[in-house]
Amino acid sequence: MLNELYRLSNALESNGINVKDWYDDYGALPKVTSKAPCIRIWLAKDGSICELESISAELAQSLRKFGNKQGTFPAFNIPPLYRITNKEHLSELERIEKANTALDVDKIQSWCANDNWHRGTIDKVNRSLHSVPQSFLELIGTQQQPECCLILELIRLAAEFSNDNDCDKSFRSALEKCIFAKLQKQEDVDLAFFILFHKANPKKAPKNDTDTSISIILDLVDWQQYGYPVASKHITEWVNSALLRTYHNTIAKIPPVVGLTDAFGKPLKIFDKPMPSIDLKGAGISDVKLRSMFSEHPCQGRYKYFENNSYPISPENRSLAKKALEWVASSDRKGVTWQKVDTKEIVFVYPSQLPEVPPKFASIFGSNQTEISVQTEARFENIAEEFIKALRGIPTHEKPEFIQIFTIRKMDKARSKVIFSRNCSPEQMIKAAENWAIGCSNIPETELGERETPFPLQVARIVNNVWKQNGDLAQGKSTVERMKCYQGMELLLDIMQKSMICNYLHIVITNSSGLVNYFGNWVHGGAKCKDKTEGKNLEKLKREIVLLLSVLGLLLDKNSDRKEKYMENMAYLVGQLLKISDELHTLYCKVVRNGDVPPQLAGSALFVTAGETPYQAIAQLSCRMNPYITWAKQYRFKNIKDEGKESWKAAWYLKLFENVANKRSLTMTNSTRFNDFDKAQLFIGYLASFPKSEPPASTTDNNNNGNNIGGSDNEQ
Amino acid sequence: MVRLSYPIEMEIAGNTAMWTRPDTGDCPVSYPAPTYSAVKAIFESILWGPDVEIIPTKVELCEPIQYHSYCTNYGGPLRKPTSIKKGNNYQLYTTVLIDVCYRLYAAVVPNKEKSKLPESAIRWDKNTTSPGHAYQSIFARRLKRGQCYSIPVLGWKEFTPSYFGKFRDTTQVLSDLLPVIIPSMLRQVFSKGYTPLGSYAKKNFSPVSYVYDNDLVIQNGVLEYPQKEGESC
Repeated sequence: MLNELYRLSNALESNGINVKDWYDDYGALPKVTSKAPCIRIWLAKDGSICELESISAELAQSLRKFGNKQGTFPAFNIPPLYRITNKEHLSELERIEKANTALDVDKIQSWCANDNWHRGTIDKVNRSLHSVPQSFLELIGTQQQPECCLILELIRLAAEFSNDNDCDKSFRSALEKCIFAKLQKQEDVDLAFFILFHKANPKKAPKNDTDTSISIILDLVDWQQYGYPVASKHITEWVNSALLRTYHNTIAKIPPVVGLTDAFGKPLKIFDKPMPSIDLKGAGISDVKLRSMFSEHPCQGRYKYFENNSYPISPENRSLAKKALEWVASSDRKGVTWQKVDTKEIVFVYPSQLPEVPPKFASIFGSNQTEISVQTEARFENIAEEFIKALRGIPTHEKPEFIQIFTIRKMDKARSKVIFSRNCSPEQMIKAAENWAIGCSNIPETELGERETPFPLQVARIVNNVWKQNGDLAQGKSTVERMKCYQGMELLLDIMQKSMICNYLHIVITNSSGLVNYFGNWVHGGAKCKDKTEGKNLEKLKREIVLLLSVLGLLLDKNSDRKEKYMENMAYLVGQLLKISDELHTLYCKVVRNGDVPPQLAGSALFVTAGETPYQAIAQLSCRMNPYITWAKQYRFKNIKDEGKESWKAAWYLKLFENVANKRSLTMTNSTRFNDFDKAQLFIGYLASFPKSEPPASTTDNNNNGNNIGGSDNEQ
Repeated sequence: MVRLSYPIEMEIAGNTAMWTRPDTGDCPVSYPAPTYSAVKAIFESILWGPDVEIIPTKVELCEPIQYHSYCTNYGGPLRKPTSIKKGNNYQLYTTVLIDVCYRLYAAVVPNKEKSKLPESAIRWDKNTTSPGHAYQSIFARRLKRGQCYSIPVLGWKEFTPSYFGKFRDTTQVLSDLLPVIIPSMLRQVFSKGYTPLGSYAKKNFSPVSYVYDNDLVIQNGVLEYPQKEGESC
């Protein structure tokens, strides 16, 4: 992703955007929530822990910690001190927490039997208190400034904690002592319990039950003499500038390699440090490494070179790339420069020139999550309209030359992959958004409600969903992703070859046949929901169908099959014939069988056959429909106006039947087969509304003329 | 001495291609167009000779750029020792190009480093008035016949071409392709060139020496490789 980030850093530079630089190993604290607080541990001059307090989310956001996965300082994570699995103890603990009743400290002390700190934890805490602060000190150096004195004092106090966990002078003992002192005084009981007990799962082995960790930060209780406490924005910024100063001095001392440049043409300096990682907190993706090539997997290496040796990049360019990624992925630019695609995938969009009020570049791609477009304001049409308006409104001198789009996916703990990279002009983007809306509206009216345009990132979900004949999803816990989310963006940008469009159409036709058949049968049969749950499920399915139809319309549009044309095609007409058959069958059942509509209607039963062998399907349909057509010819003259049993409907269906059957394009032979585009038209035809026409004013007056409707010549 | 250059060209197409971007590390991603060294190697796979140098000049893209996720389930000896012990495979995740077609252009010039040539090449060189011209003619004949020194590949060995040969009339260059900017593109890995004498002894192998081209642009579907000092076409 370095190539993409390099271009972004150039764009930032040309726009005069100065991005805050943070030292590589000075990372942000975990996000603070009510369930995961950050606890400040106040250290007294004598090395004891005198107070504990939970800090605000706002403050925690401005704080950082130095170090890596082996240990950090002044903040680090610890697991709760003891593990409790006894159900009685757990329920009593919960009672105490809820009711805030008086505490029996001795009893609580008796529960502290199972130590929750393992060897690895103890070592990590020791490193965070001893070796990491020493490395930290080496980097910031000793100065006379009060900020430095504050840090020195904290490092001194941390170093006084013993390495021996069981010793009285250990950090753990000091913490435990402070907690019990608090419990004695009945102060901050919740906080004390939070640190003291891990409500463990008895089924899990202690070694595997290490999910809970508490974020803590060390501070000095006597901070007033230094001006600021350690856990403050001021000290964090001061430490960062001190670390950066040392870093820049080190870099300046490295001589450039004579005659060699890095991959971007800058003088090459050998800086033996792995590329930095960045937490994309807004997107919930952590530890995205700019580039990795781990030596433990020899197959990863290029000519036996690993990590930095396999790619020449100067320290300046590496920090530019880091800053660029931090800028583009910052939380406040969600929807503008980035959008979350999936749990582990994120799309970045940035223009070559940033206008003062940047349009929401990334929001046009939407998200693959279903919830997003439930809200009206988050619909593609609205967002596209707003985006196009904003892009067109940019003054000429601020207009970007190109828009860069790239997607990264976190593959596993260490690896992140660029899965899509593309640039396009603003005009192309506008045209793509307009064409997308036109493509999705390439379907006739249906009775399923308002037409809805899916977001590009939603398309993959719609295509990949496998539906059963009963309207349930057939996939297991995870979907087989035959279409990837980013390929929806390719579809929007119109850079896909026809073979890929055929491929996706084939997948969506195969996967959604069951849903179309089920839903068509359900709607045509006029079934009513038994209860609210069924109603809700039906509404969900209706929305899926609406989106599915839009996707089918879009893929047909990409194949230059416009609705004006394909609505006269054989496949669409076969779909309409099946629908008419369903409706007529339903009317018959309502009138003759007293509303006893069978679970499968005449047209629906032949839906699958029609997709494969339309000739046989129509032949069977003609036999099957004969009694209903004969009945309808009689019934249409009865002038019945009861709701659901209207006789004019019989006449209307017969007329529709006749109209469709008379179309020349419906001519087929035994060898006629539908391809995927035909099947898409069949699906649409089966769900589309009938062509609009006025119902006959009075069927009884038209006896003579009406006798020919659905006459013997046209019967199937 | 003026080194006369002789143009050569060929077309190559295939289902999958991988022009690895070194900046993508252990999850390799393909450049949108073949690298300088890849084009050079494709020409050399048709006809190779130590007494001429092939200098790729440009590549024309004839199919839209389409990325695709590709995973290699590697079970060979270059896995992590613990993975070998546990019998776990290593998944190499990559982003490749699919449905590619390129028209490749290069210039053939006599090798200026004649002192390093093997004896047979020196003998051949002495008997040939114009090695570049000879190469050009032999190359054209071999391409017409579908002959090759080794099967040309589209980046990786497993990505064999569906076609390689002379330009086809049906192929169209993507002249309406929007500019694609490549800030840094690998030019050559072994830029120090051919080391023939005792080259099979490890110590004499050409050293790895990365060279990158900067700010390349695929304009109207054409990527022109910048000419470096000492190269004449």
